[in-house]
Amino acid sequence: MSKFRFLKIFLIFMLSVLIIATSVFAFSCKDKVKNTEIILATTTSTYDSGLLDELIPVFEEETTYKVKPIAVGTGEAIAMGERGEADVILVHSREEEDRFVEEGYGTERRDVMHNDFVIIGPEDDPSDISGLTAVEAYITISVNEALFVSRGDDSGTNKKEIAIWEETGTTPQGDWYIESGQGMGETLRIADEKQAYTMTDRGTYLTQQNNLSLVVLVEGDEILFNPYGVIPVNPEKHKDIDINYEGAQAFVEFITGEKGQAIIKEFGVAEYGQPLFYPDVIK
Amino acid sequence: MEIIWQGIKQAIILIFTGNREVYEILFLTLRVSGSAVFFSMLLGIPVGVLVGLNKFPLKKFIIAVINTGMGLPPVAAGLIVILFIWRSGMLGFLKLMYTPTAMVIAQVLIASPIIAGITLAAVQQIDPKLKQQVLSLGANRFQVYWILIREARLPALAAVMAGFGGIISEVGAVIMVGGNIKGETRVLTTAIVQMVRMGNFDMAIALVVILLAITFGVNFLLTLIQQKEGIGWIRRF
Amino acid sequence: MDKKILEISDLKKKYNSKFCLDVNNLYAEKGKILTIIGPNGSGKSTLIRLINLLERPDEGKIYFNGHEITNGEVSQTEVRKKMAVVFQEPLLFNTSVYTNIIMGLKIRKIKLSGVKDRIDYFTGKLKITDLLNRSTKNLSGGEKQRVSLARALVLDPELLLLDEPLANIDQSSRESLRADLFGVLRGYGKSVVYITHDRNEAMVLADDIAVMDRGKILQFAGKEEIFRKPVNEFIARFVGVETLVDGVILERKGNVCKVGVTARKSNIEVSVVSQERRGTRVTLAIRPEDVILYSTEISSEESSAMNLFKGKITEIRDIGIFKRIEIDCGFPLSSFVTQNSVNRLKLALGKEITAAVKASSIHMFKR
Repeated sequence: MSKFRFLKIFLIFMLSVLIIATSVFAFSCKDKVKNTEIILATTTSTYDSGLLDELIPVFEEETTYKVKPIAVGTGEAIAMGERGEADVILVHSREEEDRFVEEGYGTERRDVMHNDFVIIGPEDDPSDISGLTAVEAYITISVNEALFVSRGDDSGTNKKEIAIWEETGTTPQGDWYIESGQGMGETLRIADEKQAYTMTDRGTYLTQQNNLSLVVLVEGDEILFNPYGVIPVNPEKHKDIDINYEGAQAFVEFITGEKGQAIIKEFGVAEYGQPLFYPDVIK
Repeated sequence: MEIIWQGIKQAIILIFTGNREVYEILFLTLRVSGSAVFFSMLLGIPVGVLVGLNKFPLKKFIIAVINTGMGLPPVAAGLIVILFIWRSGMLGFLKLMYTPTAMVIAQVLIASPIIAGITLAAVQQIDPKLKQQVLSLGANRFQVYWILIREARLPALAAVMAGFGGIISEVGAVIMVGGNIKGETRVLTTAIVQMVRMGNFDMAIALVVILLAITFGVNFLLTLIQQKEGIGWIRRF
Repeated sequence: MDKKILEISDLKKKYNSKFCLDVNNLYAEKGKILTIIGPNGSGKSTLIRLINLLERPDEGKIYFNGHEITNGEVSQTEVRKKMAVVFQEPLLFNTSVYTNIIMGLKIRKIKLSGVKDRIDYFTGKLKITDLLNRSTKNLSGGEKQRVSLARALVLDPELLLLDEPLANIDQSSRESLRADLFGVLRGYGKSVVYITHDRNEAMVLADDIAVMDRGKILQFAGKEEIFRKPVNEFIARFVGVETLVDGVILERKGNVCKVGVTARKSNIEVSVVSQERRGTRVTLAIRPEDVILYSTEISSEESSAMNLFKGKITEIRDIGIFKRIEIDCGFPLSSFVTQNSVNRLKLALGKEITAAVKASSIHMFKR
């Protein structure tokens, strides 16, 4: 046997060992049964609040489903839905959600919960934005060239921030405008570090409060309203992919149902003194 | 400063009270990286030895491929794996996305070239005449390889250490293919990221301490084996 | 066929850019030591590799125990298991000395319990019993080679091949290793092929000798014959002939030839025992041990040698126990004498001296 041929045979043998081994590993996982798995694409801020870690176990206990929450930026979550890589999406970007359903990627959008965004900044508030409306605050910050940290990552929060900038009629530019490109938690820390202004969802602010010196300066403005929607991915759009539509629907029913909504209502109250999210279906 | 000290205190408590979440993450990490390093050895060492000891066409090309693989950014490995296993990919039907298996695959992709490359270099250091000596002692093909691998056992062990080190501290690929799902695909590194994001510093520091302990412990053990010169040890061979 | 453990027939192999191994006929007899001597680059190592089937010949056949081993059918591994090779470099494994020694036994799946005596014997003979548990890493060159030899010897091979085993050992260690190794080999009783470029080693060890140069066997014969009757100048010099002179056979009476040698001033006639014909151009080889010195003016009663050369001493050189005396008697003639003789004959530079050489001691070969 020539040396080269031996080498090829050996390599093929090793490769087969590898493939067999991983397949065995793969099939030993129980969830490989059809339709037990639900891939839920959601945003990092939603996930980082810890809400899903409360909701999902209850859901899993009641049903036979296993939910895999994948926390990415809003843009990516929606893209995952469009590609059929997720079964259901839970995001907070109304315009995009509507487009998602319109274009047939999702079957139906339902309200789940809402909270709001707040503009926070250093306690001494050098630009004096406290009590202003969101748009006014942004104008002031921009004019003063006060340090402002943006998500800069196409997330729901980011899209809201950009929408507000659009209302101001100016585009934020310059050394004072910092784009972190990261999640809300990291962005808050950066803002804290630099004693800058930033906009955050109240939920994340509450969970990170202990680690921050920044305080809420602007809140309650209508434009800061932050609604969350849940949308099952449309299986029709992905005939060649196995979308767990049934599972997606079950999940939607759950979080918009009594039990799920109750959990949402109670979440965080004990720890932070106020709820992080307000349920939409029950009041 | 206060936070760090607080964190360390909490970390010790979490570790010694057997906090369930912490240990869940720990065991998953060991399972995933342990399997990955095992399969990487199975793949990497024979490849390194065979390529190092034989002459064949395209040998230089294959060595270049292995060396490139050694320097492959882990996130690139992650992306490659995703492209195959996500639902629209070739292996989508296996439903490997966001599973520990996918993480093992990505880690094997990262560690195998490292192990192969270092073993390859080690084996090339062996005096080429040694192979003739082994043949003259009456060894058949397999005995030759076995003996020469043993001859290069110390660098091979170093290769495994390097491979293990590369994967246990990796974050990018493992989040991409695993999804960092609590209780399912959350390993030490990805858990640390999540805990920091959520502001849960106590847990984060605890996990960092554990991660460092593992990395150090494994390396210390392997270093002991590698550097030990004692008679008793040598007799074992 | 029975007596030959190894036979080589018309073997050809190109071994470097210039030369090709070309061996018409060479064989090793069972139980004897065949020494192959030749300078570096003569193809000796290639020959060993071919015998051990580590390389394939371009042409030709090798027979081992009567069976051809160079056809494609025979199992190389099985043939190798009947031989053992020690190379110039020790080529040890990085474990303990003991593990190295038994490595061949383990490969050949020979039970250790059955050969314990053999192991003890050879480690004792090679004086490495104290080193058994040590790692091979820090051994000296000599010690390593002892381990390599032990490794080969414990295998009790039908044919032992040694490729210049002492060549890489430094001077100081070489003496003692040589003594120990030769002590083992001489009582060995098995078939050995020993390669060297050192003629003294060959002199001590060999039963048969093959002289190689540039891939070819120049002469293959028993030890005595090679040393007494080298067939050409190259071999003569190689086997230690110090004096070589050219001449022509002037006449032959019976079995004694008179050879006219061109000397500085005049023609000198040298008597040599030989059957060669008149007119043949020859080279005379005279070993320094065969040149006996007398102080000038001796009669034919004092020496039965037919050749008496008169000359002046041009050089006295120390070579160990002997002194090498070079005399100019029309041509340069070398002699080995003891210190005793130097004193007795009062040898000194410039002294007139007579050198006697028996006609039967002079070896002659055609030019």
